Amino acid sequence: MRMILTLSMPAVAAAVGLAWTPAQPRSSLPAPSSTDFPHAAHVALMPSCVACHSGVAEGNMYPEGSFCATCHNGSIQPAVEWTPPNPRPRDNLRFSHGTHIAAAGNECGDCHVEAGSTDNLVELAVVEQCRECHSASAALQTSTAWHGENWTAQHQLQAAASPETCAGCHVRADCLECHRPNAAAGSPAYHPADFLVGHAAAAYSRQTTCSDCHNTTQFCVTCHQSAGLTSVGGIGGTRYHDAKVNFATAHGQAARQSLESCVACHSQDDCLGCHSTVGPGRFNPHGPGWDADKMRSKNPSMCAVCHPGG
Amino acid sequence: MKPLRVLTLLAAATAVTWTVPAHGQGYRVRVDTRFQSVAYRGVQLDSVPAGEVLPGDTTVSGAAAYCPPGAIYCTYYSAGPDQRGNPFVASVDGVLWGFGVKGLRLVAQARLGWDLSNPDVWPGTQPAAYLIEGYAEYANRWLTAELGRTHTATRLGYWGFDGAKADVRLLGNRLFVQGYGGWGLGRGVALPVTSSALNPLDDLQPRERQTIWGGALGWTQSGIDARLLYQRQLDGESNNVGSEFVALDATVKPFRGFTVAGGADYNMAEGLWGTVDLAATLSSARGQLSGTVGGRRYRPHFPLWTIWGAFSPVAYNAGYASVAYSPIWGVELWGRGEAYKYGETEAESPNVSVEDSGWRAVLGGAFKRLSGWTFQADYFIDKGPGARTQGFDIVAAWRPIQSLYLVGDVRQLQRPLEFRFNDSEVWSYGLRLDYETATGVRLNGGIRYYDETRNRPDASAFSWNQFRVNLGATINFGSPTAGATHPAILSIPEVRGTR
Repeated sequence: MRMILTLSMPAVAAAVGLAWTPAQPRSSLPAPSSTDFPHAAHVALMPSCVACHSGVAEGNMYPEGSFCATCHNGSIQPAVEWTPPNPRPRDNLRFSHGTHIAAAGNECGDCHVEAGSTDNLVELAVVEQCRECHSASAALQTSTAWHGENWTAQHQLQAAASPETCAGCHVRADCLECHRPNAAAGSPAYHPADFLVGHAAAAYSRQTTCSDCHNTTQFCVTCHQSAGLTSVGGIGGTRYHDAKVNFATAHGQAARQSLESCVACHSQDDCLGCHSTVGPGRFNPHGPGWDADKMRSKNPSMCAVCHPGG
Repeated sequence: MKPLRVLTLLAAATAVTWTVPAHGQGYRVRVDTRFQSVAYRGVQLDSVPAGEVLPGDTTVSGAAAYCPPGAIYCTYYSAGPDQRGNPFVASVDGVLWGFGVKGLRLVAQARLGWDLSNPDVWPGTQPAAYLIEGYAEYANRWLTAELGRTHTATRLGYWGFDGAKADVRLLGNRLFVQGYGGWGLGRGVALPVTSSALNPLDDLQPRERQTIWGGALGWTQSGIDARLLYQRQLDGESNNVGSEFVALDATVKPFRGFTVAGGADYNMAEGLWGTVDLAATLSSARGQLSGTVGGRRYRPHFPLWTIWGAFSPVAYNAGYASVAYSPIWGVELWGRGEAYKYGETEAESPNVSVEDSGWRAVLGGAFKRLSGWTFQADYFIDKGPGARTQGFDIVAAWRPIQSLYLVGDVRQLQRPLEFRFNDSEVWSYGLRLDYETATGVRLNGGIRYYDETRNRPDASAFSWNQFRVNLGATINFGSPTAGATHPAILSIPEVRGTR
């Protein structure tokens, strides 16, 4: 695998370099939707966008249908029935046309016409265009300004429905600061500073699911091994669990309740010594809900570890 | 892969992105780096001739010894050495677009980590470099397709794989269909299950990578989001089932301020229900008061290339409630409580009493009425089988200017264990600084004095202290179109002062 990775990286780098040719279309984010309205056919008639979209600064995006009838009355032009499109589903993106017009002027095309376009193809703005003025860093630092209050608690629905919209401003690491804490990102920390010494209580009963962020073998076992906590000499060889005198011979309840904690220090071999048909103990480990037939049908190899004779 | 080789490739890739004319293309890169210096102490197993053990099974030094009948040597645990780890971790997350096809991007995230003191001390530093994600993505209004090393993160866990994933959004984004498949990685890590880094105890391990495939069917509309999930893993060598799940996730917002969220997963491989949860949250119109009540059932699951599932881990059932209240502006109070009880294990023994229920609670508050200052305090307690934790923290944070953030805290906790005499009490005092430079580089650093007392009823008890240090930097950079802030935009009140 390492060799494949090693060999593939220069190839990827070369591919990136070759593909990285200049003068390509500016945006490659999700294609903005061309509006259904034939703007190009009307551009010569309208001196500016606000001739039709006069209420845009106040949030009234579209003219009334009767406005069209000024020309499309059946005599000057064929009559049409036009109704404004349905508003976009409400989300938490906080945007004010009025504020932007006041700050940047009536340059609607900066956002709604693709750069270099000569056919006046009006498109819905995409978030990529926001970044031409708003830096990525500002986007990260001012989520309240962008998304409104309580965005953190409310973004689940929109993020699930259209993740490509998020990707316009955010790299994955931005999401992972909260959703999968990054060991390299120091702030904000997911666990408090003294979590290491106090994590046993949270881990035993899985206050949160540790394995959502940590591979428990790599992360838990290696650290426990360094700390001398992993088993040596199998079960009962050292009486590590010294607060319970007979723990080695009566650990079943603790094991079934917190098996994920057991396997953070014990290997499968530790248990097979007693819980196997080939070992000296032959203690049946199967408990409530055990369906041997189903398990055998799904993975007979697992059964054969303890029942090599079938 | 050798770290030097990875660094060379990253340098070459960076050189490409910096030097090649970027007109028409775009890229963004985020680099996170962090250095820590942290120590910990565990235990170390030692032995002594049985004849040297004193009556009462203690060593001459007073440590409790274990002497099996007839044994020549007795064993005992003493305090382990002071092990200091100095891990340095860097992750590089980048996205490139502008290849002549709208919606086509390349995404990559790599992680590099070394322990600068001893590679065996800090977890997760072997191997030193690996690719977390690296895929080509094509996205348009109704489709997002990824090809390469990608992942899926659902209630079934975080699973990476080398393969393909496609999300299709239909009916105005209301209908969601997802499918994915490929060669799987380990759960929660970008390493294959065959990696030696995932087998520190030389345990039974798959000899070939598993294949993974699954899908989702979802429906989203105003106030409703529901997902039906399916995922299956097959052992690469035997083609036996490694795991197979079906799950449902749903969130309903029937009216403003009220949310009901829940889900359940069913372990098809074992024929058992897994984790189930349901919670209702109500928030007042102005957000001053919010409360949640819920219940959950947690049952772990293990891949069938281990034997752990055969030991029949049982689930626990929990009920919980939380409330947050802001009586006046700048004052916030919160509390959360949960009680849980394990199911019948059918393995109880009169020889060993084991707790089968627990509860946990947090009470806290914050005061933010002084400009630039935040004061916060929490008390927490977690009493359950295996271990307990209780303590408090007091935090003061000061942001004199937008780009500078200082935090000082005092924490205390006690941690008794149920199955071993190894109670611990810790006092720690920390100071932390976050600063964003004018160029957008985010720097952070902190120092913590850590004083721990490990209590035991024998001579293996000890007390020790240490300083912990961490330093980090986050750098964002991108193509010129993404890098500058237009002066006109800075005049917008909402954005002014954020850079």
